[in-house]
Amino acid sequence: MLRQLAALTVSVLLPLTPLASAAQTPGAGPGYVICYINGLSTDPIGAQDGLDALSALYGTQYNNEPVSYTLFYAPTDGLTQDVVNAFAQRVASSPGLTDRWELIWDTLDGGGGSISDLAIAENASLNGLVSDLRTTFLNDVSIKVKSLNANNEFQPALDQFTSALTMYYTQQKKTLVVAHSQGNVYLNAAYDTVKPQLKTDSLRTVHVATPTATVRDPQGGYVTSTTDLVIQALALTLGNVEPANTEGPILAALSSDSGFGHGFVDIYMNPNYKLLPAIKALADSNVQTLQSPSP
Amino acid sequence: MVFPFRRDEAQLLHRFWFVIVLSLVMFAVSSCGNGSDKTGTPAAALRSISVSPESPTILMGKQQQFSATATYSDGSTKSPPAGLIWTSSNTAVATVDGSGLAKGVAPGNATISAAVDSVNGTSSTKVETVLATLDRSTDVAGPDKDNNGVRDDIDQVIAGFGLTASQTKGLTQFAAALQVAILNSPDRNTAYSNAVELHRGQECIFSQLRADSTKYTKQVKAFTLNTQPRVMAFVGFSRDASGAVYPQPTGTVCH
Repeated sequence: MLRQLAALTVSVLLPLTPLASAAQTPGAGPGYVICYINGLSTDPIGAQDGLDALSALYGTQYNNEPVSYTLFYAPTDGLTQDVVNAFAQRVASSPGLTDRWELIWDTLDGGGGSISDLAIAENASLNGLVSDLRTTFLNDVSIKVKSLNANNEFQPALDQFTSALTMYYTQQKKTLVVAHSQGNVYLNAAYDTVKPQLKTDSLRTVHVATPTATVRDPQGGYVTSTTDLVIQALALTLGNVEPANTEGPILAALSSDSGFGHGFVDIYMNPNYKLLPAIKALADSNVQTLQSPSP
Repeated sequence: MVFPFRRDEAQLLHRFWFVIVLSLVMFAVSSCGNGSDKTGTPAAALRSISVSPESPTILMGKQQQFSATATYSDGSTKSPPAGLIWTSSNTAVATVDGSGLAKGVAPGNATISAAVDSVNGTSSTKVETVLATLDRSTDVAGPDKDNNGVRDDIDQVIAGFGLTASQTKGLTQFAAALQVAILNSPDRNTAYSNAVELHRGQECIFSQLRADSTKYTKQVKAFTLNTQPRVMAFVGFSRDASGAVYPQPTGTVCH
């Protein structure tokens, strides 16, 4: 009771003190940190795009406290390498015609096809190559996610992420972590590791397109699109995946606009679809109830 | 000195001669305009029109100025007479306006024609995407004649976006950081530093174009990483940069 009274007194008096202005300066004071863990087949550029999409939601201040952003860049090399190998095989079988490696990025970036469309318009025979790449990608997704925990890159990366979460706790920062796709496997594991150390609800999670059976944070939640082809493929293989719960965009069979219906920025954070309001509402409910870490 | 005419009669005479001389000049000018030479023979007839350049390649979205030259029955060549009409055989591929300025719309072939009455000339035109003109040399670096850290063909790609000078500079900063990442990321520490610089480049262009920025960065990435050695170099860089924590770049992100 005494502690609550003290906290109430501080919260009432704080705006009158010089500290108040410091607290309103982005980067000063503990404030909030919003973290993003990328999904599979995401390079450092795509991962940063995801973080930018989140920063566009909350800006640099929330509740008169600074908000900072951090990317937890999860390894995704295995899947990328498989698609690269598939592309190399096609090039070897018809050199000259298919030696356009820029086409690979449409598939690796989520299946959309702005660059593929240009190439196919110039040479229609490239259509088969693009289709093969997309099929290879979808076939490999479930294998990679299924064996993620056994990947020797998993634990070192997880250690980095949990260290950062622990640091935010010691810095008195309220922390929200948003994960996409395979990033949710890291997020569940990091939550399990860090949560026992926390004395207050200073860590909350939002899971997007999760290929996991559960989300560990009981207050957290998830958003998965009804038209996410990657999660549908994973559900067929893994069997036990959180079911789709939000209406996704209508996909025109691997169209250039929507690709696999799975991309974090192109699909889930796209203001044209119902997914973004669902994610924002979930994130808001979590941020609003975040508590300051207790020493 | 004694004038044989009165003052008003002299003025009248001057006006008379002025009208005569003016009429002669106008007759001479109008004769030239009616196709007669100095000797009074009929002007040479328009025989053909040539269109140049003859077989240009236009990049999609880019423009190409065509010009027409007329050849007359006496062998002379000069600009076509008034009434020249420009047309494209396939406006889905290339359009052309009344001044001969064509624009590449989509990949394919079209014929650009210039005609006056029944006399016409043509030029076969091929429209290509930027994909067709990318550097595909075997080395990772590729040509960079202006030494700005960005491959010359990528400089052209960026210039073709039609962005403002500041946005172009930001996108060039991103492209240069990407080039460094694939050329010089021998270990995890260097890859981390290069990823930080890459993110700074992204933030620079993001601060100016917000959500639209990914449209440009995705293209610059794909066009830069357009050969197997370049893709492999980037995959290696991404692997070495992964499993790490990256605070969002803040402060002055544009160089």
